[in-house]
Amino acid sequence: MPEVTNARVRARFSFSVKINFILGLGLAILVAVGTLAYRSIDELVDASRYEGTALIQLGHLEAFIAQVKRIESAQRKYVLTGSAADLSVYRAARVEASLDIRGMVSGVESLDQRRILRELERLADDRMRRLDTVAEVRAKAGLEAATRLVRASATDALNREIDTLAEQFRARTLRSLRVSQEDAAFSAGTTGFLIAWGILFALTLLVWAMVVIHRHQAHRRAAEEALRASEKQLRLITDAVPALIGYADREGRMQFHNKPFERWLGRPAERLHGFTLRNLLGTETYDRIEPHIAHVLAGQPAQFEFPFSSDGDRAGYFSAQLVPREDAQGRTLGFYLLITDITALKEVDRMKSEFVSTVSHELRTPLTSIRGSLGLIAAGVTGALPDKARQLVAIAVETCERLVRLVNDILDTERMASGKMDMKFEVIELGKLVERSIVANEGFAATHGARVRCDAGQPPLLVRVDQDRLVQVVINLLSNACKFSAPGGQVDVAIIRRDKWARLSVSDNGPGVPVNFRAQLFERFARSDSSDARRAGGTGLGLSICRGIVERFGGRIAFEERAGGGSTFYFEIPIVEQA
Amino acid sequence: MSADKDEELKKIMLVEDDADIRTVATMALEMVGGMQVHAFGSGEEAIAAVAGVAPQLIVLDVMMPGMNGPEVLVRIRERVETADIPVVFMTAKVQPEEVERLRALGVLEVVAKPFDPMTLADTIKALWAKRPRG
Repeated sequence: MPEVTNARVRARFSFSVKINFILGLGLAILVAVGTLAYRSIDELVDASRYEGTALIQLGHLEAFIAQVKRIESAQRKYVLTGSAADLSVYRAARVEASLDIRGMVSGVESLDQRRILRELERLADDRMRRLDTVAEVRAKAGLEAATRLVRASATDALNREIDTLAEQFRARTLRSLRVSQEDAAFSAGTTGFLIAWGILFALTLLVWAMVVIHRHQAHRRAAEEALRASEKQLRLITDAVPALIGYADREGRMQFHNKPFERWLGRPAERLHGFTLRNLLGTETYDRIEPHIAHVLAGQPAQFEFPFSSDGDRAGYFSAQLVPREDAQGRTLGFYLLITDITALKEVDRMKSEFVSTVSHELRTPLTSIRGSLGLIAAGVTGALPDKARQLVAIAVETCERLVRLVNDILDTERMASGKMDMKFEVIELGKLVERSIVANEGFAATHGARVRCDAGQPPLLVRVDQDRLVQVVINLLSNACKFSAPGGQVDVAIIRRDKWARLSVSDNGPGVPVNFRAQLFERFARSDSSDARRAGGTGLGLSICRGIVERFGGRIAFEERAGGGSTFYFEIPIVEQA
Repeated sequence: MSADKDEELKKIMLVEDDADIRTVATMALEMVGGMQVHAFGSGEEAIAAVAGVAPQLIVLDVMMPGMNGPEVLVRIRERVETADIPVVFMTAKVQPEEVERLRALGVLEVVAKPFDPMTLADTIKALWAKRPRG
């Protein structure tokens, strides 16, 4: 499932990147081609406008040249006729020619062209003034004087200069026009080329986009198919699991369940999906498990057992595990349910407990007779015994005690393993309880010739424990220390404070714990193979029971070598600070 | 039953179906404790005899064929003349919840089997001394 999801995320990410890239590139091409087209059109418009202007200017130039010719003709006609009408025609043409040349100058943008026209205007003015002078002489001094003046003036050179300038203007205008047309043609060609490539590239992008979309759709179809297959496989697995698997939302409505769930509740899927657990389990059962549901909705896993009967028959026993489902912000969206039928296990457990209890009882009954009889004989109640007989009876008494301890330890171990060792927790002073244990162990210590010294420390430390069980632990450690001490040896008991922990240690000067035995020291039926251990006659359960009890107190038990020989067994349990 | 504060425990009724245990317990109480023991092998016999014996204290086995210890206790408590006799249960069922259940029936204490024959009498006498006085 997670692999399928990752593949889908990767495919979606890749698709998104590719499509965004294609769209971005397409947009960039569109902008570039549009800009180029705009610029090209602008240049074409400019070129067209320039062409019009140039042609108009050339037209004006030709008209001006023609006008100058007409002025000369009108002036010559007036010189020959002296008619006022011809003079008036000459003057009108003269004014028109001046206006033409000024209009041309103002309409030209090129400085070079404007310079030529200004020079042309100057030459034309000069020429006009000479014509005016001839016309004035004709009016005042007659034809001959005017004819002489015409012959004396160097008008041909001036006319050639005017023609040369007109030709220069014409040639430059035509060249500019040609350059403008060539630029416009180049720009239009380049733009056309780029537009063609842009369209080609856009088409390529379009094809690419189609391929990407097609592949994405193929991937999505494949991913959906894989998801469906995965879901089908998951469904097959969950349906095959001999346990009830489900998921409920925050309102306790079932959003997923497997087939065993339907069989358990005796409901088809359509009468289960979306229904609340209260509806499905009934108010009585739901009220019983509601605290656990509140717990899991608070984000903490919950585990509990509950009886349930879906059809009113004898209730079965079920073990439930609830696991919260949270979103990225840590909010609980709902919870997963795993419910297993433990009716058979409960029955086996009950039978085991009953068996252990019965065996214990049945062992204790004959042991009572044996222990009682031997006790009375050993104590001499029935008469004095010969030494050897007394020695043998003492062995029998001790062996009997071992059997009793073994039965007790087996019972405790069974209760601990099945979680039935009830504790009556109360806050007590550790030192006093240890002193009580030492007193209870006095007889045993005396039997082994051991002296017990206690340093309870100050100030008194309070702990929250089950008194009887803690005494059991202390006596166990004390009796072990006495058993393994050298004859006449000393057992030291000490209570110290270590941060927030009360540590009780029991040290002996015995042979210590063999290195290869230390790892399993606190395991069940752990017994050293040493002859000392065999002689000590333990059951192999005492230290494992001690560990179980200390751990129930929230503490730990451990062992360390004692400097100078011997062993120190200690446990640490939390201190209850005095208010 | 009213009892003098310093009254010495002398007469005991022992109800135990196991003949061996009955013998050992009787010997322990008589020979070590110096008490007079009236021993019975079943609850029915004990109920029939208890008024006549008028023991100061009854040591009662819990698991017995026929009428068990708690049932015998109920019958003893039902009769006015025996209702106040202190009872001590003796049992091989020593699991804490079982001991608690038996204590809750209103007995002086529950003594576990196997017992130490040399301290049994002292244990019974100590319980006798701590009995509630009416």
